[in-house]
Amino acid sequence: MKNSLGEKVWMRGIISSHLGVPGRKVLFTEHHQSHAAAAFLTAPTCRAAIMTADAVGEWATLSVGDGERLANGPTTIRRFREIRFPHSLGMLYSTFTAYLGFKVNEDEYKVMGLAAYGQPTLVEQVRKLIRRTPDGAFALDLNYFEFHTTAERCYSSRFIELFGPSRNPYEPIDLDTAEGQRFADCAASVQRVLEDTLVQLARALHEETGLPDLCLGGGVALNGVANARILAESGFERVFVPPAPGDAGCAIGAALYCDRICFGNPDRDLPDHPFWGPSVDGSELARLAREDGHFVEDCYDDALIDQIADDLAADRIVGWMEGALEFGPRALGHRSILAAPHTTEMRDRLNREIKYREPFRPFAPVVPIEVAARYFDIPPGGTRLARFMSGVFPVRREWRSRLQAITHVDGTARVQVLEPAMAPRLHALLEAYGQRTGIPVLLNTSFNLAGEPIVNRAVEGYSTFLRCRIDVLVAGETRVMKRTSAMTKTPVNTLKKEVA
Amino acid sequence: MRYEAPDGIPNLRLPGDTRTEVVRRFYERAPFPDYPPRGCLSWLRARAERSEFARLIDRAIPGDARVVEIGCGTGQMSLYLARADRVVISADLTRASLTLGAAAARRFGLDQVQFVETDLHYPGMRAGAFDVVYSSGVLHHTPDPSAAFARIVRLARPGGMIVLGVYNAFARIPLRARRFVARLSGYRFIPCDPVLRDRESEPARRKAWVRDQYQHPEEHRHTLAEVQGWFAENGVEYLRAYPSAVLCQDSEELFATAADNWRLEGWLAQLGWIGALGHEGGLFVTVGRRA
Repeated sequence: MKNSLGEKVWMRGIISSHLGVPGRKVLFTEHHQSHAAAAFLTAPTCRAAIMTADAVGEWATLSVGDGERLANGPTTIRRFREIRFPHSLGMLYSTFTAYLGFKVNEDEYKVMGLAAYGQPTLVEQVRKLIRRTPDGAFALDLNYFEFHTTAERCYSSRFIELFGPSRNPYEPIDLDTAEGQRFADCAASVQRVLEDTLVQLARALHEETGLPDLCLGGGVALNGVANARILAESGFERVFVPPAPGDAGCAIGAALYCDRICFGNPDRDLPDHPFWGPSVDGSELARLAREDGHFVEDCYDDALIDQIADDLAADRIVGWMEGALEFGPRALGHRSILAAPHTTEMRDRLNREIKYREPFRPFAPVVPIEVAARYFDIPPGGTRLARFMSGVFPVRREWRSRLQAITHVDGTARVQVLEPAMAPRLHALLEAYGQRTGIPVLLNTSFNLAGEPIVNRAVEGYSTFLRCRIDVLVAGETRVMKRTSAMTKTPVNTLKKEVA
Repeated sequence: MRYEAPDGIPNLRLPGDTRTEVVRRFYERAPFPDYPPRGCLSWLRARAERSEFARLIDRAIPGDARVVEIGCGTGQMSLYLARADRVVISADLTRASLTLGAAAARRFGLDQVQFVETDLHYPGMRAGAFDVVYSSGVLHHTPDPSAAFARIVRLARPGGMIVLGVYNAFARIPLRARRFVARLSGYRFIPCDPVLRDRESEPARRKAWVRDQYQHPEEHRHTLAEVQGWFAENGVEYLRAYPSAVLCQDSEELFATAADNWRLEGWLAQLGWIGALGHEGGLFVTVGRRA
């Protein structure tokens, strides 16, 4: 409330004073319009159905519609229907996020990770919270929630009666105990209900529009497991999720909406990548690291790629900074921590020494598009979802034992399928790594420490490098290695032999 | 010099005086604080990071520092600080606590922590060997805190940091009042202790808190000025206190010099700590740099 009075009411004035433009020139788009525009106008498709879902916009929480853009004609985005607050899929999921002891609006992906450890045994109970209405929408039973009346707590005491006591955020989740298993089952159940609801809504939208393409937007579209099920079961042939479907992406969405629809400018294709941020400067890293007496090397192109591939094959953990920063929550190859994906030891090492994650959370792989189908069971249309890590797909059974660090407990992975044109150097690195080990797959996790944002400039990457056990740091053409890492003789990876 | 190292924990402890022995036996009987049976590293980190101070000190200590914790107890802070390329030596008087800490370090897969049994009066470690000397909640349980401080300062290299946490004379007043009532009632009735209320459902942790706070055989309390006096005597430059001794200022960088050091303001700040720290043990931290 304080925030609404303090800031939101004066938004037009704040924007106009910061940008120095008159207030009447500031245009507003609705929240879900922005989500829809961000999803549709960045996707390489001319006609598509659009579905957006998040916790809450102004009042809308979920909307369906369609969009059309023509090369020389007008662009249209239509909304057929919307569901309004307090009935919200995002809020349902966030309520469970809070109940399971995670941070709301931030740690929803932990619920998704935990879900793989449980069985959806509580689906009936979750369905009591969310009722389908005859018109195809849904409604929450507000007796179980409190998010609409208080900011203190999302769920009510009836919710506790139904599911048992909530988790203490400071106690570990121990999946060997009944209590830990109950929390995993809760996560699995709400995940199942979310997927089922989204699939049904998407299927209805497909029947209504008859279009082959679907654009998904809003924070709920970050749920890769649900996205994969929508692709498989809703009837759409292709599903597009932008690299930043959450609220950050609304900035792009609002700008595109105004350009194409308010101003009626002709349609132009957008570059199909997420690299919109500032570029990294390798020489800045070289200067910093030399001052501190680290081992610094400047090498170019193939020599650098070969050197890094050797490092990775020797089980070194590499901080990889290249070109422009990704826009959105996923590290897609420009600010990444890379490592060998083969063993659980590597996963535990990353958890223990760098990411400080709960042990139940998986790491994601990156694989070149040419060989993706060899290692992952990606359905037709799935490579598009996997372009920005928006879908979770099974790892092929025969490779799971050699891809342990990136295979989740249910045998899946949130894989990034990399086209050479999107990040050529990372693609070359994958190939070089494949030549050494026989498996051109790398573990790719965002370059940050727990609770910190993804690094941007070289100095941030360098600071992170010093505060954890990353062995090698690359920015542009500069490679820095810690002296301690250079001294440890890592045994040569035996994997090559195994594969050959 | 030869020494024994049972269970991989070197024993450098020389026989101490009677009062030190009393304290040692107090902790031998009940190591403090305990680890839950299924604790893991992410649990430890999550728990530690509830405290702003833990986050600040972790951010302030460089990734390749050599750290010694004097009086580590079961070593939870040491294990929390054992990140990146840091090396942490965790020293304590009590083998029972060290054994718990070393077992946890093994379970968590941390290989950069070394537990050592020693008496801080004769630590048996090389002078000037450490970038950071950290000791919290320890000196006020020694017979002569100012003499003990002189001993541990030597472990820091010139330019190295000293981080010292002791009970504050003011902030401890509420607890002493509670303790007075508790003693009259034979520890049957301890009024208004928020920590005990928090641990209502955990009798073991409740008991641990009562023992540590209400039944300790040796306890001193110190003012900020007193600690600054120790710093001056031992060639340690005073940087700042946590909570901040400058009014209306938050501590952001723990190892940076405070904006001001005005004695009167320090006294006022300490009066404020009665409210701010009084609900817990009343521990305040002082940070200095060895000349």
